[in-house]
Formats: sequence, C-alpha cells, structure tokens
Amino acid sequence: MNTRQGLAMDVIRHLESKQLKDKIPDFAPGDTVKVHVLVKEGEKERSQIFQGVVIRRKGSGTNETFTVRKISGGIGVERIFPLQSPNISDIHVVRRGRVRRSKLYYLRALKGKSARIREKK
Amino acid sequence: MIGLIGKKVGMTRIFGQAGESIPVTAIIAGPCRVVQIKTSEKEGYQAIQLGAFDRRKKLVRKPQLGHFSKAGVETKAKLAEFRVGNVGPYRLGQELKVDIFQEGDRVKVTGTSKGKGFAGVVKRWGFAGGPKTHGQSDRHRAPGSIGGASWPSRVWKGMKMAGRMGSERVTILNLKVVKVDLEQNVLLVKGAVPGARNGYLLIQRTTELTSVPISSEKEEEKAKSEGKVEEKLQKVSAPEATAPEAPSSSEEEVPQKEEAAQEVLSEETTDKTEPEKEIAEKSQQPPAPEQVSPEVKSSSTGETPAENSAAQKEEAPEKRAATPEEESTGEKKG
Repeated sequence: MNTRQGLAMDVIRHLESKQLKDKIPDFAPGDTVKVHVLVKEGEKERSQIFQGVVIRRKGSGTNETFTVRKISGGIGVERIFPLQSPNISDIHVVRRGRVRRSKLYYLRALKGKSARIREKK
Repeated sequence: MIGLIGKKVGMTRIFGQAGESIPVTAIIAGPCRVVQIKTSEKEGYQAIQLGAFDRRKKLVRKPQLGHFSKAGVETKAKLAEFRVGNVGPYRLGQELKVDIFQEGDRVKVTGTSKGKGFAGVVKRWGFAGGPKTHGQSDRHRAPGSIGGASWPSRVWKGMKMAGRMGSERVTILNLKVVKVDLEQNVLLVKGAVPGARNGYLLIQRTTELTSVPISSEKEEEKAKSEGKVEEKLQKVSAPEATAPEAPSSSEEEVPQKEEAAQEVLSEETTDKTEPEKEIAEKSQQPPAPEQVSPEVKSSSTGETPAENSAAQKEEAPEKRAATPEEESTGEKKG
C-alpha cells in the first residue's frame, strides 16, 4: 500500500466513512434545534431533549461537533454534542435564524430582547 | 516480543458500543515478511528480523539486496528486529499481518518522537519558571540556581538544563487495540503514539506468538502447497530440534531446491495416511480471525477447549514426534 501523505489520510477518511450517519438534518448556527439525547439510567435507556440555539459547528467527519445554547432558569447553559455520536438519536430544527457569522459567541454577552435572532424568510 | 513494523497515519475518533467517543491512532501495520531468523546458536540470541513497505530494487544498496534475496523476500524499506522466546513458529519469507493482534489486546508502540529543537527548561523539564510580576524582568522562564557557589562550587553532572529535545526513541506501553482491519492492514490503537505522521513505528505484542495466524499463511500455502506446511507442523512438534535445524535448512532452500524437496515430501506423505489427513483438515480451516483466536490462546495457556482446531493441535506433537528424522532425511535427498 502506498502510504504517502495524501493516501494515508484516505485511510482515515475511509475508516470514518463507515461510522458516519446517513441522515443528518441540514442546520446551521442561528437555528433553534431540539436535540434528542439517549441517556442511560441503570438498565433503562431514554431520550432527553435539549432545545436551544446552535451557536457553533466545527470539525469534520467523525470529529464534527456543534454547540447548543439555551437559557435555563435564568442561567445560560451550553452543551457540545458530537454530531456523529450514536447517542444523538435525532436533531429537529424548530426555527431557522438569520445570522451574519458562523460562530455566535456574541450571544453569551447578551440576554433578553437583544439576544433574539431574526427568523430566516 | 514479536510485533509488526508500521507507519503512523494519524488520529481520529470512533464511537464505542455505549456511544462513548474513543480517541484512536490509525497505524498502517505491515504486512511484514521474515527476512532473517537469529538463533542462539549462530547469533547468540533469538530474534526475528522483519521487513516492511516495498522499496524499488534500484534504491536498495547491493549488500542489502543480497540480504533480501537470501530470504527470498522482495526489497523492503524498513527492517526491524524483534526478540522472541522461541523461533519455532517462524520461517524465512513468512508473512505477518495485523491479525497477529486482536481487538482488546494490549500493545507496546515504539517510535521516534517529534523533534522540538533547542528547548528551554520550562518546556523540556517542566520547570515552573520565575515570577510573572513584582518587578521581575527576564526571569519568566529562567531555570534559577544551578548550584551553590561555595559548595559544590561546580555544576553537578546531569543538571537539568536547556538543550535539544525530542527526536528520540519513545515507547508507549499498554495501548489498547481498538480495531484490526485485515483488508487494509490498519490497526487502531487507543490514544496517541510517538512521532509525526508517516513515521515508522514498532508495534509489539505483550505475549509470545505460539503459531502464526492461518489467514497470514493462506497465500503462502497456495504458492508453496503441502510440502511447506508439513515442515511447519514438524517445527511446532519438536521445538528443541527446530531452533538449530530449521532456520539453516530453510536458508539452504533456494526456490528450485524447494520444489524438489516438495516432490519428495509429497511422495512420502502418500505413504503415511495420518499426516495427510491432518494437512487436509488444516487447509480446510477457514482463515477467519475468530477461528484463529481460540487456537492461539489455547496453545499459550495449555488448555484444551472444545474447539476442534485446538484439539488437532494438541494431538499433533505425539503423532509427529516419530517422523522428524524421516522427513529431514527426505529433505536432504531433495
């Protein structure tokens, strides 16, 4: 096998391609999503929903992650999910937002009215 | 311990059964071929020299060409030696593939770490450096005192100071094999391994290999047919006799001679019905790694599980014990 740099990376791509999910909804930063997370409690497995605004998507292949931010009890909560994780059973887009950058870190400094995102038409 | 020569591909992550993320390093490992067998009689210790990654003949030095042709192996880019407790299971030219490892095994990975150049004491030795504030200047990453003025009035040998860092041989112990891909010759181990991408690595087993997995031998069996297998069985059966005899005899075997020896052997085998049956059974065994695993384990622990293949292995020594003299004479005739 040829192991020059380019082809060596193909090995990783090939490995990852076997693990990738086929169905991932199209969503982007600014969108409000419901993430269904499988949680194990002893023997039982149930699904938990985390709803909030996507403020970041980064990485590629199996390493892709996204961050969802919500305000829970007046406190900002952010959770980072690995996009390809088998524990993420479903991602449901509730609302598409119109934003002008790919990383919405500025939302962390805002709250209430100013933290709103315009809906995409 | 026996292992493989590999090349680091890079890191990624895979998801485990419980959905947990496992950081893994992908390694292209082998296929390696046995280039030299070192024995305690000749070299004073027992080791297997493996070669991996093909290199064009033109780019190999002449003395090296001779070394490869002696083993009947195509020219390789990298040679490495592995100390073994028993050279019995190995033959010159034999191919070793990633299936000498199994998922869940612990391995030892050796490589050359990335060079860091001339590094200061904070990076190289983990010194704390000096205070950042309170009027300090030029002291932030300084090493401090390196010795007393009145005593010892010199610097102790081995004092940790700034200097070249990295580019040295580093071995990481106890890495877990997460996945073995026989088709692509790829090994996934959990965690990081030393060196840059495309750097050579040695991946070693923690236990002795008692027999080479059948899937590695499959191609050889096709090419060299029963004669060779016969010889291999013989080796397994009589470990004391094999160490001195086997390597030297196989070195003598230039391809043409080999064929002749094969004919003699196959003629002989027709007389003995027992061994022939065994060979037939052995070749019928599917080369699936799952089948191989119990066999390897059982022979190392000495237990006999209900597995058919293992039972055959166990029987083999007694039946074979009588034959070695006959067969070795047969070889010499050839």
